[in-house]
Amino acid sequence: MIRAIDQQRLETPEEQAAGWLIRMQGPIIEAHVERQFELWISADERHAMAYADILATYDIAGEIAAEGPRKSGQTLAPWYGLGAAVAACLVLGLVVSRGLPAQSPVPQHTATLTTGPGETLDIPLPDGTRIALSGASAMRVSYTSGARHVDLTRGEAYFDVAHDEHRPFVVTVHKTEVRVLGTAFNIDLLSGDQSEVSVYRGRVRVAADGKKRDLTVGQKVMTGESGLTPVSFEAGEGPDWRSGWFDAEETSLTRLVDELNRYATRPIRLEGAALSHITISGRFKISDPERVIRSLKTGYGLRSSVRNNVLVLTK
Amino acid sequence: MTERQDQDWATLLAVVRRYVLNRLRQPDLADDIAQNTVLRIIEYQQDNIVVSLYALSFRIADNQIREYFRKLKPTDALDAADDFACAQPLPDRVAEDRAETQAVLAALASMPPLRRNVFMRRRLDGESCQDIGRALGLNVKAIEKHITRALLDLNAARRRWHMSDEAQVSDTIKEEVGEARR
Repeated sequence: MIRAIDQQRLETPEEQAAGWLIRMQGPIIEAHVERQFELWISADERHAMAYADILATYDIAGEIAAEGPRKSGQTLAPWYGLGAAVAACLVLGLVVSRGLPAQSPVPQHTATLTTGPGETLDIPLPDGTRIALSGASAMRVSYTSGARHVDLTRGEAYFDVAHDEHRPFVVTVHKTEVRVLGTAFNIDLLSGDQSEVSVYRGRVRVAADGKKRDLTVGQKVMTGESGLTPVSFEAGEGPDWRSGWFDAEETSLTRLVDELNRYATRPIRLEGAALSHITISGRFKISDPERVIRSLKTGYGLRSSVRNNVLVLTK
Repeated sequence: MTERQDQDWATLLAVVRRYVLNRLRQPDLADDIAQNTVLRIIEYQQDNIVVSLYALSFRIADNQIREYFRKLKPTDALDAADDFACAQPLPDRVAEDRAETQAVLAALASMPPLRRNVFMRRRLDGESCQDIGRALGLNVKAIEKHITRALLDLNAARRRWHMSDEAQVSDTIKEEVGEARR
């Protein structure tokens, strides 16, 4: 007689532990996975012991491999450096060591939030974190007991993150990951897979394309640009967009149009390569796109026409 | 949720201690960190919903281990931030266990290149299994298989080293006992 065989029974506790470790090290651990993990690890002491060993191995191997070349004069490059087109890994971090936060129970929380042009949304989350979502933006929020995760899929958002050392706050933007414990920052997702990260509270380290830059309050950096050169800005109370303004300083016209589209009920598009090279300076009331378009027309000699309900700007 | 029994806490304590001891090799310190971890967990789960006590315990213990390393060698606060942020290994791991370090390096060096590549991308670069799969043209299951194999290799290497280390220690004890008898 043939019986169905439970695949897990064929594996040793050590192999099962390795499998669980891979699932539990992901950037987001879904609640049902975590629940299954707890069932597995508390079912049998051998599971727990095997997991304690293999997790330690994983941690130790990472530490040793990271410092191995220095200690032994070897190089890791042939091991994994070649072709490792490291996905832009953008890292923000702030460590404040405190005790466990005294907070009210935090249940599983998921939400999908979108705003239309000109709309903004202030989102209070159960842990005290506040997210302000700009116009024409979209995000998914997913809280589990192990992590707080936000997927910014479109637009711009300002994050004021409540400190919780046991639940990292992770924002993913394209293939970029922003990870914090508690700080305030703004992410602006621009066209061409670029994004701008600005810091309003805390200190931050940004790493992208193998480069690292330290940012303090009042500094911002553009990912997807070579060098990651930090630029100073007036941090003040929070990003300008929250009051409907945009401060341009030698900023490309493309960028301004990106910002305008957060508010414009009719999409705005630039036409012609010459236009995208234009840089502008000044303070623009982007919550009033028509006013900005008028000043662009007078100040830069642009012309506008409407085609298929798209406002097209030409030289 | 049902009340957890003392027995459960005792098991959790033993498991956390084992994890810390694996990493620090200092029994007294492992006791302290494990006890501290479980106390904090007991307190925390009274006011918070915890899906996995084990997962949270390992994270808390890991934080305390990192804290300990940081105090040993003061580093820039941002380097410390990096540890949390990227789950990057500590740059200043105290390699008092040179033999263990050599054993792990040897195990890494003797892995098939693909297995090593996959493991390093996951562990050091923090790439997701999906991203590694895309970069190497493999499916996620295959990537997970490679990481599992790498973990088992490394675990075996550490176990071999640990056993030989214990053997040496017990030889030393025997010698000392022998000395005393003479």
